[in-house]
Amino acid sequence: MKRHYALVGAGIICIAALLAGCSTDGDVTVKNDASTNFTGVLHEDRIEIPAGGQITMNIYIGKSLLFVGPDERDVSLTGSAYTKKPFSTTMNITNGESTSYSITDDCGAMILENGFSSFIDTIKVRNCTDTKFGPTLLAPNETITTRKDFLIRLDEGCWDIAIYYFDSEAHWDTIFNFPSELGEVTLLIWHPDSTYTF
Amino acid sequence: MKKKNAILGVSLLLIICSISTGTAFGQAQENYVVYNLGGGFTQATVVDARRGFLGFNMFCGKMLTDYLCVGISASCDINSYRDIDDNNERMTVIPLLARLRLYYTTGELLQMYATVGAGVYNAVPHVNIHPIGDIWNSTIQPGGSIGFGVEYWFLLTMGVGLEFEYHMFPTEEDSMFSYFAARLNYTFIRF
Repeated sequence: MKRHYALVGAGIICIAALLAGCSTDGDVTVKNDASTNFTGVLHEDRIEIPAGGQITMNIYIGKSLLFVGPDERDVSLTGSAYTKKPFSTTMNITNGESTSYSITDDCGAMILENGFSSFIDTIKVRNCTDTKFGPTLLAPNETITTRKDFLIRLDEGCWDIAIYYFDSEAHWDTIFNFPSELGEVTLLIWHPDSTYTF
Repeated sequence: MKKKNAILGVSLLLIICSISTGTAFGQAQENYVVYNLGGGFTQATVVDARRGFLGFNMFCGKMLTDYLCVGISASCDINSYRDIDDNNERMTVIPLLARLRLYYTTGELLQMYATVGAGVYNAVPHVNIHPIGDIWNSTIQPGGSIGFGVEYWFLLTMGVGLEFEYHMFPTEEDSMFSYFAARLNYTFIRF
């Protein structure tokens, strides 16, 4: 008879253990060590982190029972800042632990504002030591109208920037020897008659 | 490694049952047909699984000897469920399995058994923005289960049973989907 009670007791314990199946989760902290604000997506949630700031998010992993079940998962982080090129990374989150990721500068930037009365339809850049410009940075059919600006991310170094615009007919202008420094953002209001010193 | 330990444990149970099984008295024994109808709680143990929900099952098996039973089972297990606003997210798994049971008679009215099964699993997800255990779409995969249970034959040919099972099958992402089921069965035999 005692054996019967033991078996029934074991069954009840199994059911109770199932009903109490444990949730597993972990924390992820994303710190923005870049010098400009970061915007991106962490685990399908849109995030914005000011320069020098950080966010911590609790990541749900799943359900486990006794020794069976997931205790880790991968979480994706995508995004960019003015001084951080668009990137995508995956972090492994472990149950009960905190995972950290640091966003750091990997480029400099120029914010080019169109100070002219006509629109810009092409922007090309080249390293100061090169002879040819690369492809346009604008998307097909994209233009920069008057008083609008455009972000140009540039690796550390010296750059020439070619700007193609319409003034009754097609023209182009070149900004020479722009020095790009890691983590620095330069606002430049462009006009074809202006000269620039850096 | 953990799954291997679980498989090892149940294998040990199977061996113990096969060594020490005696003749049943008044319960399931040779040439009888055993039927189970039951329901219970099922819980997925995969990434993004939420609290489990209900499961229903049927089993029909022929006793080849006093301790060995072969049969088939069908279930419908909602092993992850949560409400999201006016909607819900859930994972339903429908296994169709061929089963082998090894009975061990522990008393005049009580039998316990270990069971293994193999067959196909139809997973029917209804998910939000994340897959449950890497399953986004409805899929049919081969898989298997292991488990154990007890049957209390309080009317000799009718009784109730408790069953605990662990199911697993591969996903299209090459990971394993697994879940537990704890079931309460109405059980009866036909001659």
